[in-house]
Amino acid sequence: MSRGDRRAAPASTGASTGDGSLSTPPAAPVSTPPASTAEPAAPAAPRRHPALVITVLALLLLAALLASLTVGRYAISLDALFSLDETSSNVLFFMRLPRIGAAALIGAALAGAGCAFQGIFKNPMVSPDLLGASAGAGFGAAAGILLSLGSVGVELSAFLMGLIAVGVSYLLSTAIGRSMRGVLVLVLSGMVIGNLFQAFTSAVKFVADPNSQLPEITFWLMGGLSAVRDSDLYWLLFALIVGGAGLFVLRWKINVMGNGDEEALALGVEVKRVRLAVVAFATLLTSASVAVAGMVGWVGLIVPHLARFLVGADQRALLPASMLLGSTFLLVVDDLCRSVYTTEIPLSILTSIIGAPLFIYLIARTRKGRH
Amino acid sequence: MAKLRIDALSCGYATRPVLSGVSLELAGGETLCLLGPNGAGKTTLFKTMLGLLRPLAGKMSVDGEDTASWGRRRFARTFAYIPQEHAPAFPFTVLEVVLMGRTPHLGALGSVGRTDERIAREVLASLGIEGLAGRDYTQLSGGERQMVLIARALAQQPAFLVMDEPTASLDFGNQARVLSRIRTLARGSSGEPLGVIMTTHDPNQAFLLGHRVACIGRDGSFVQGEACEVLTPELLQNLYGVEVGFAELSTADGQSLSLCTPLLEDR
Repeated sequence: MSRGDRRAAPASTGASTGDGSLSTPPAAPVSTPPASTAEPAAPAAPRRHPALVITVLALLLLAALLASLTVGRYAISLDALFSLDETSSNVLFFMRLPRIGAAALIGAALAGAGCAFQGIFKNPMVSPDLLGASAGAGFGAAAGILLSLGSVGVELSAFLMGLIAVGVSYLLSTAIGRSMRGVLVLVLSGMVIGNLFQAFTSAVKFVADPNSQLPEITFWLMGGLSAVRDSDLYWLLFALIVGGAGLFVLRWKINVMGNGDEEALALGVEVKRVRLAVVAFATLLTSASVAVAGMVGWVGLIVPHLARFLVGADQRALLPASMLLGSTFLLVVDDLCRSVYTTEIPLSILTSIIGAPLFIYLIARTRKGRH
Repeated sequence: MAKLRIDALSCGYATRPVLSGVSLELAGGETLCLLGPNGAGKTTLFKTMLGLLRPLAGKMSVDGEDTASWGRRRFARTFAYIPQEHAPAFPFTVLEVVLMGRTPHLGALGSVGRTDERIAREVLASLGIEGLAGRDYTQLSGGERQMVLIARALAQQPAFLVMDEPTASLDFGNQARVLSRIRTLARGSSGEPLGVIMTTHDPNQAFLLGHRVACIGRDGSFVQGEACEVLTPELLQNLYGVEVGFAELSTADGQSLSLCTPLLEDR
């Protein structure tokens, strides 16, 4: 049975963490430790202290929030934060604060969604837009711009299309695969639907007005937080509370699903129901984020990876750690976006430039078997 | 002690029935080894017992209670499944893996708590592997991983253990260690006696455990009984399609133990 489960893992990359050691099990005796030692004498992996790490990550986020207030083309020093003149306070409250809030919320949302997706797909190489959320949202936004829906309309259209794309992926997978290998069929459906929606986006670009609409679509797809409004924050906060609470409730079941469908079922988990719920909550987080910020890659992929190094694989610690770390990460990246160059750099460019080498580093470490 | 009763069970997939007319009984304290060639339907029977597959016909009951109406959690509180050791995709600690056995006892929205952690640690201690608690499960040896999976199953506090070739990937010594642990668990030396159903490819393990066997043939035949009575050279030859040699071994405590081995064809 277990062999079938391993086959169901989406891509060969995912099996990397554990399977390497499987082929050559060292012939150590089963009962190694003497019964007298209550505590492990010398555990191979460094023992983690999740509560401590999470506290440090929370403090780190606070520091990043504070620092982000001072960063930008219009510099406000830390001291000046407490004695603001009119220009400074305008910059701070109407431009910088919403933006900082959005970066923090979106970072947490994407990292949380990625964390849960990696858990249920049993694969640390999975990102939260695996099932087509970003591709759908991209098409929704492009279509909204083509139809001149206005900024609220574009956002709404992006959000809904993200949900629709994932919904179609899910329905497609249940229609095709009734066997136990539900995960594989779901991943493949996601790929197909994602590709389809990308084609739709290309079609929209093709017919869009090359002087006004096409550049707008292109910029939207590159991602950015320069157009964030206060109302976006309420949206994001709502999505983060609902999606985050949903994933929090399912945290232990996501752990158990890391063993594969059959073992999870045998441990009493209603696998299909939990998977559907996780997909729904994570997609709410992803779609809301993408609708506000456009395409922001990498966050949902590398941040949970990074968090796993710090607190281990248990979602009870991994989920909050990922969300805190995701917030900090996106805050810092967005700070760079709006301060490195005279004009703003699109968010997705920097997340990729920072994310890609970081990811390679993480893979290299995993290969060596150090978690 | 719980009593499992299977009556004229047919199992398989809707389009492809695999086994039919299987009847057996198993009580706590008993061990049943399932023997049969690859593809005969051992796994299918397992999945049906665990409630992963619906029976196509027939009835399964525990203490007279029909399992047809059971939900996932009810199954998991009665039957614990021990798969062949394998590494999950994520570096869970041993304690976390064992805690997963507590899942069927949790509320719908809950997570594991202090009581669950105490039970998990007790189980690890009862197996003599409490020192592994903080270790990374994916970094353990095959034998250690198999013991951790047994611990996880015990943390489920089930009435029956369902084991899928628990010794398949273990070395000679660890096979023996795991088998004696299985026998201890069945006898109830460390708690309530459990009913154990395990598949194995090695008929000698049925002799060693000295309990009941059930043989599933590729033609769907189903023979069961005491290991030493059922497992004759003729039966094994028919079952696996190879010639089988038998020998008697006198153990140190003066008992005699049957052993068998397949004989290689002379070409």
